[in-house]
Amino acid sequence: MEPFAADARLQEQMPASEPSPAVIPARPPAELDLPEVVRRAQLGSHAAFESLALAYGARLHRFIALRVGPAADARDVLQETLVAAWRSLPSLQDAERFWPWLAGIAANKAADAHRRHRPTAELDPELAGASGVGGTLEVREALAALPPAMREVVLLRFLLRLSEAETAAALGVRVGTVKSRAARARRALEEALR
Amino acid sequence: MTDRTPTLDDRALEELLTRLAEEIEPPSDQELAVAARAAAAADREHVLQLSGRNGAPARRPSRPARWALALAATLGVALVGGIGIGRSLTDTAESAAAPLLPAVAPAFRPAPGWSVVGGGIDVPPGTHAVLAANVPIDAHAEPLSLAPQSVLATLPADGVFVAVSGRAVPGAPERTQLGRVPLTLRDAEEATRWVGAQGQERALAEYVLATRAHGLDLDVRVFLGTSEPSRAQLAAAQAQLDRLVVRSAANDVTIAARPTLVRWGEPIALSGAVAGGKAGERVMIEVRECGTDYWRAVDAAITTSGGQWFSETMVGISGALRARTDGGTSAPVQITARPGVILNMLSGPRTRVSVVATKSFWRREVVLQRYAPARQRWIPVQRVRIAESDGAGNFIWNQAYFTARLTKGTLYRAVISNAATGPCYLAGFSNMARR
Repeated sequence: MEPFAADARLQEQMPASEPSPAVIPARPPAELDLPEVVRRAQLGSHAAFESLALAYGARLHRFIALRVGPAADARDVLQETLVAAWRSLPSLQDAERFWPWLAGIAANKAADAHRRHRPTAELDPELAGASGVGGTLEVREALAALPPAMREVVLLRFLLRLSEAETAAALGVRVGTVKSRAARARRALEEALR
Repeated sequence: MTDRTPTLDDRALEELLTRLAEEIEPPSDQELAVAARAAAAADREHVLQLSGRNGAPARRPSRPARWALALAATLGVALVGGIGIGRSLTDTAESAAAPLLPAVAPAFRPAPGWSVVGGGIDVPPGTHAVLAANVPIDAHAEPLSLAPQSVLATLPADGVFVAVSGRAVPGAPERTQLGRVPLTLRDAEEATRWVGAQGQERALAEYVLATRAHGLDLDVRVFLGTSEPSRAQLAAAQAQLDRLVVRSAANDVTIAARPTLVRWGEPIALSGAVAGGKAGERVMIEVRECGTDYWRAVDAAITTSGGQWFSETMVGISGALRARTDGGTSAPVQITARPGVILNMLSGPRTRVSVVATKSFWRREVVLQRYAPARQRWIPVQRVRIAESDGAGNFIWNQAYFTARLTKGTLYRAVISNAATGPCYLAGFSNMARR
């Protein structure tokens, strides 16, 4: 079967050496008329909400999995995120800002889950199911060693590709705080990966 | 000299995290759809709570917020009913082992003066259908079926209407053989069909044929606009039957909508199937709104076992919906919408009417009516023109005020007529209210 049209377009636009945005595209699929779909979901359309979950769910899941680590089931946190998003969707003012808004909910739910299930000792990576291909095990460990507040800034900024302002809005902090946390996290990662 | 790792710039960091994330297996589309459905089953009652915390009276919301809350409350009631029914239908449909959509379907070769509709027809799962008539087929009047009352009741005396449905022959190997279907009216069972309102019924001649061709069990019904058809009319019907063929439907996706005439905010249950019966296939729902000439994707659904898909959507204005997969596009199904009309009795002599739509109705007329029980009729009381037309997101709030002195105990409603709403809406009727 032919790849889905939007995915195919994205694949064509990317040189082979770049990270594949078909896996974690920074922005929503061009297929969807986002404001219209968000408006329908705000009105109560289950199908529209399903479309949004299909468009963003995989990226959110990966963000949550890296944020909470092996301490909690990322799928459970994703489910909590979707429930919270559905409940508070009518209060979203600007449909264009849906993605940062949703990422903010996911960040809060992931933080809750991390607090609830805070491990008393770090899990052995092998027991936690971590695998390392091309040095990713070191990156995973370095990321896990970051304080949670820094980790979520790094993930929102550089995995979900939110802007500094969007990250600040998602976390309810000032832009300056995002900048300083990102800079400290970057230094810590550099140290860890040296 | 110290060995120093190159500085992690933004791009390097993005690449590192992307590589890391790629190792995590995300949920499948099917799992995401299930998660979204489970989440959407949660109540949104807190949105409608008007009282403040600890029972203290809430601050009065701003005017747009009040409207949003009123609409949300109205929609909430409608949705609870609508979605509830839709869900129960869906659950029933999903729980049954639905037959696969055949890889071949009946169709008509084109002929001048004949309208043919191949989609949006309310038929059982696993069935392809096609309708043809020598008069226009009005898909707006009611959901199309194999014997749509709106078409039959208005069929002129020389009119011919043909409905063909086809299901896969049980147990037969899947066929993709295409070709003509030899049928003759002489072999048909003849009957009389009564149509029209009570007291104004008229008789139509009906011919029923059943045949098996190209792997399909075909059910053919021919209706003629009179009970005593002329030779020419029978010849016209036979000529249309001669144009019946079986075509490939390997990439077909079907769509059916219920209802097709909706009030503002009323959900539409959509269902259909993809040929081949593949589960987990993505079906995009597209809309073409009245006044536009392009299709936009607005919803998506994932096929379940048997290739069936179910969804539920809303439209803010009349238009057409269709389903699209990677392989094919369904025939459109027409949706006709009414604007939302809300009548509020205000303190003092004033009564407010609000017309909610995606269009402005500024300077259009709305009518206040009272109900006369003795005559069982609605009587016009006052006509006013919309004086305020405000945008709020994608909605336009059109408002006007009636000043007529209202009688206590009498039932009132507000109406915006077809002429006032224009081509993209039908007439709208408000809630009924008493002073």
